[in-house]
Amino acid sequence: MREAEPLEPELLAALEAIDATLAGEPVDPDLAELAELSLILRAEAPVADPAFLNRLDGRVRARFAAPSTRPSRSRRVWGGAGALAAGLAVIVVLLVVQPWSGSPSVHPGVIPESGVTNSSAGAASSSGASSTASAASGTVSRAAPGTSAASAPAAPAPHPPAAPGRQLAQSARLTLQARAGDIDQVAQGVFDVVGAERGSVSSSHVTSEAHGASYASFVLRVPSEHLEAALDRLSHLARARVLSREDASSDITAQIGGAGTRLADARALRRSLLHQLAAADTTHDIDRIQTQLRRNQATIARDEESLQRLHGRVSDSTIAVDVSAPAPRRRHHPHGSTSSGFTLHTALHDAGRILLVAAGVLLIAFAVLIPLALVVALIAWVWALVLRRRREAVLEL
Amino acid sequence: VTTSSLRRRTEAADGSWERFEALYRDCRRELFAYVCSLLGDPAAAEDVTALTFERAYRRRRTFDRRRGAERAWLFGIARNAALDELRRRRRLAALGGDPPDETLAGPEDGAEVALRRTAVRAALASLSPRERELVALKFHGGLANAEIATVLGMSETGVGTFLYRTMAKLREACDARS
Repeated sequence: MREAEPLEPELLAALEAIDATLAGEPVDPDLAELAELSLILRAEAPVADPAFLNRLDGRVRARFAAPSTRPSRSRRVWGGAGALAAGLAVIVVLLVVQPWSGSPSVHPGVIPESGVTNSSAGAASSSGASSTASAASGTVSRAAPGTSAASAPAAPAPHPPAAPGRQLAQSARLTLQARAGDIDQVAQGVFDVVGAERGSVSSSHVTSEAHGASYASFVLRVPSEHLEAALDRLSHLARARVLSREDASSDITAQIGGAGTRLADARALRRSLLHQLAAADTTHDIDRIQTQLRRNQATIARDEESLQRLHGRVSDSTIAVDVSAPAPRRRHHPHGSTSSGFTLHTALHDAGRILLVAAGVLLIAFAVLIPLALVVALIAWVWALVLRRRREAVLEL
Repeated sequence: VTTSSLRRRTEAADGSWERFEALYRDCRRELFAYVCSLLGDPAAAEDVTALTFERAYRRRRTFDRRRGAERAWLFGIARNAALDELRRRRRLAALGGDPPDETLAGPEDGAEVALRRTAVRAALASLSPRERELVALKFHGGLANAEIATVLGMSETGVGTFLYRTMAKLREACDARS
């Protein structure tokens, strides 16, 4: 309410006379006319029907027990706005909180059921099997569907059939998953497969920690005719499941042909140089030819090695095997304890985590709700202003 | 234990029911008179009066004494409800604008008083709606100037000045008529 300002004496006297008259008190005779007018105005007040007052008394005694079942318009509007705001807030909070969940929850030592692709080619999808292949050379990638551990049959990866006379170099990459404690056993299984299929281990690396990140990788070479059998056995290793498998083949017929031609040319040159050496009669010629023969010998050696390497790529296939264990996400307790049993430390740790997450959720909720509340308050204030003006406008009509 | 009995216990504990009931007993006739003056329709005034008390009952715990007296708070609710009703009907009842009803002057009234009252009714009809509302709040609702100021959102001084001018206008109209 605004600050009261002093009134003029005449005006103040008139107002006091009105109030005195209505209170039944005497007034100055000079203001008798005003007093009389006040009394008449009060007498003109509409009188309520006694029947109406009785009904109203009854409703009041019943404390308005039977209110109208239909909510008022303003209540419906605000109720709807509140529900909308609450819904929006929940959606926003869910959207904001969702990324916190991160990767799928994995209990320590439990392999997730859903298939995960870990293909170096990056062509595998996370569900079902997908494959691309070309007849002469190409790559076949596949992600294993979700299957249980130790019983995940990997579908045979078809290598493209080699046309008669064509030379194919074949390779494969297999990604397996096993429990951290089973990495050693799986690694031994890999070695057993290599021995059984008459292959060799080009390189291997095994890191096994009881509760840390365990990992193993191998590069194997097996005779090409044993490639499918080796892959099949590797895919069925005990205590491991296939996450992805990638097969690749490359037609190197032209490379072998080129290398063979170069070797034949080098050998023909050697024969020619030997003939020239036999016919040479000067020291200068003999030295020159011998120099050329040394270069030719080196070229022949390189070409033979190259050809041999190419034939090796055809006869032997490379298999890269990666074995990984899911990293433990929880149960990493103080003092290095990893017990899954219930302890005071576990309870305190979990309680702390819950409080932390709850605080984070509350913080996000407030960050969303406070601006929302400000907007709602602004709208409410504007709406109240408009409503007041509309009501006042009725009196101007 | 029913919801109703629980509600009664709560109301008894915080005293809100007693305060409301006292306010109701104190204001029901004046409130009806004010609303009826504003609407010019007794039937509509009964509905609005009942609605006002029901709203006041449901909002009784939100009443803030620092923002004014309970009577002003109640008449504010009534004013909003009455103006909403007028907005709905899109017409402004002519406060005191009805043709003078000579029968209102009782047989016990003298001829001079009857004439005076007739003149006052006619003078009321010449006032603007805002002036008629002020008369209704003051003389029919029985509010003090401070309470009227709260209801109308004006200063108490402004209400005093407004009332003084309105009364002067009424007196002039009555004198001119007589």
